[in-house]
Amino acid sequence: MTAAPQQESVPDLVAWRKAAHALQAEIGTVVLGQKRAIKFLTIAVFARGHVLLEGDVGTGKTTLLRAFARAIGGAFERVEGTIDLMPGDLLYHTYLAADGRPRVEPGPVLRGGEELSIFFFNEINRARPQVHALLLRLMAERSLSAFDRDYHFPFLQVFADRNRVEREETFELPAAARDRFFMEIGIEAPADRETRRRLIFETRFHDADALVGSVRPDVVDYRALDEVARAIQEHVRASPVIEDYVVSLWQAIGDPLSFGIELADVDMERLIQGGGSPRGLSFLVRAARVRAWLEGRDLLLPEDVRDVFVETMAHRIFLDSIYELRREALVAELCRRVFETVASP
Amino acid sequence: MWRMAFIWLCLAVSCPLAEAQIVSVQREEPRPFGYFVGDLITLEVFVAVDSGYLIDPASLPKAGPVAYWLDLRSVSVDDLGGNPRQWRLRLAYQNFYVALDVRRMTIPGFDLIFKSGENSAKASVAPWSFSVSPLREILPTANDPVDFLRADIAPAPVSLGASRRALLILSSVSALMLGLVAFDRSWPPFRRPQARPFALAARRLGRMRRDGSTDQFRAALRTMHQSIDVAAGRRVLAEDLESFLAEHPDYRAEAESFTRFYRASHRIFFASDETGAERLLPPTELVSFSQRLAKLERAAA
Repeated sequence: MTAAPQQESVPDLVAWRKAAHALQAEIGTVVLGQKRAIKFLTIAVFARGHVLLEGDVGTGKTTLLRAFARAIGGAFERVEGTIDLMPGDLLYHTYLAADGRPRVEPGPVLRGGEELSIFFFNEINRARPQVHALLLRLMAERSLSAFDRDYHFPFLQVFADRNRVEREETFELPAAARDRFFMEIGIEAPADRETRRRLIFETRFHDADALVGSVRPDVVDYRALDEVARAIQEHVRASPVIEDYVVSLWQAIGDPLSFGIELADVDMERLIQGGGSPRGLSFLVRAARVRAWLEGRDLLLPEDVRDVFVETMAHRIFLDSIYELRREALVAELCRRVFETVASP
Repeated sequence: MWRMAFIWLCLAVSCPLAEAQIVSVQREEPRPFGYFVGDLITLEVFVAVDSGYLIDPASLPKAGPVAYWLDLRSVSVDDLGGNPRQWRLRLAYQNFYVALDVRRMTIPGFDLIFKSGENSAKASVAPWSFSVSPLREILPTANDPVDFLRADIAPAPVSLGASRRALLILSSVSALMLGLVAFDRSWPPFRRPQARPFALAARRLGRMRRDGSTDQFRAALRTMHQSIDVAAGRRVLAEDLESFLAEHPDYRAEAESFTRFYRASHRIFFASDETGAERLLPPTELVSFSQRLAKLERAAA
């Protein structure tokens, strides 16, 4: 590839940054008290990464994702995860036609054609591992085989959510599937009293369909996002010092003891089974670069890495099974200690 | 000393066959006079019987009150063996009779049964009498009954040596432990001199020979970063500056210099722009910044 055509096709990143802020502002009008989640979803959109939302029931996960889907535009499909959902159900829609003959038509994933921009998988942990396996390919390669041919989805972004309350009749996502998610964002109910009061009493928040419908559509153009994402990654520079810093962070997560990090009541020798993959670390830097761009910088700073660290890395840290039940608290504490310990410059 | 007497006793036996089985009944007695209230009297009875006969435990006198003035405190039986077989019965009585004059009392006799299969033999132990004496005269000579009381025994001093030694050992162990805890917790007098990271940084920056190299400038910025990290107890990034100043309001006067320092640090470390960094914060200014911080630190301590 030569430099000249690339130069021509470089999108105007300043205008795009404005668009990104407009996107956040637009979503912020319909989803209250989730500023941080909106920021991370924006980062994911501009890093072209798949996102898993995790949180309590009724905190607006689905509304948030639908609002994003509407603001980004393109074809949108959604599937509800159930225990009897099979991979075929995502690809094919089988039914008896009016003439009494069985018909096979494209299912949810294929229905929108290759323009599919957002595929939303609700309650992903209710689906079986076979479905997760199909999703794995869809996420990693953005392609599928069906009707005897390959389908490609160049603009596809997968949003999934799962509630963390129930454990019955659910299938834990395999490590490989979790690792393919760019980010795992925790959604909590807003803590601010005023926001809570508005969410409870303002009627416009009661009808999710009307609420999502009020989002201005196509705030950003989904077809250009891939190009913009590439440009952002090239635009934001990483110095050798920050490269060193990220490598040290990875080392500290994988072997906290070597940095003198000890958590209370934890056998640090056993705690970490896997401390992030190279793919995970590359996702981390990708997200950090987008964050730096959103902040109006062309320099990658330790702050960027720290800000996106938990969302991009926590679900890739695998703990010894006896610590798995306390996972959330332990991983958060571990990340906090790592950032308190590892020196940035 | 007056000691023993042997008395042969006739045996009143119902069964003429059994009579032949009891060879002898002897009693070894103490003196029969001079007893006071509370005295113990031990009688020993030796019975010789034909071998094959065993004592019937049910026929033994039961320990306990015998009469209102007499208790049988213990009864023991010993088989001494031999031919004819010797049995020894030891009876310990206690006299509770409060005599006003010298009086003769009698311990009642009893029968002992020996058995061999279906056959039985009876050995009778005769009553034994002795005299008890009063402890004091009938009409007291003293007017005040208190006069009869003897003086209290003077309390003997109790030795405190062991307790004193234990007290000494335990208190010295406690003092040692307290000392160790004080050392561990840095209580006075073990309080370590308060760490003064900015003073240290100012000293180090002052010592650096200015050769104008960028490596030295980088090292100087790193030193400054380290001192800020030590002061905060964590790594402080530019975004944390506000919270750092909120936690350490003494340095708020230098907020603008902190911001400049971080911007210079960003230029040199993350943008590899040495000249830009030195323009933002000349090395001499960095030194004076560290000295100002050291001064604020001293004032705050």
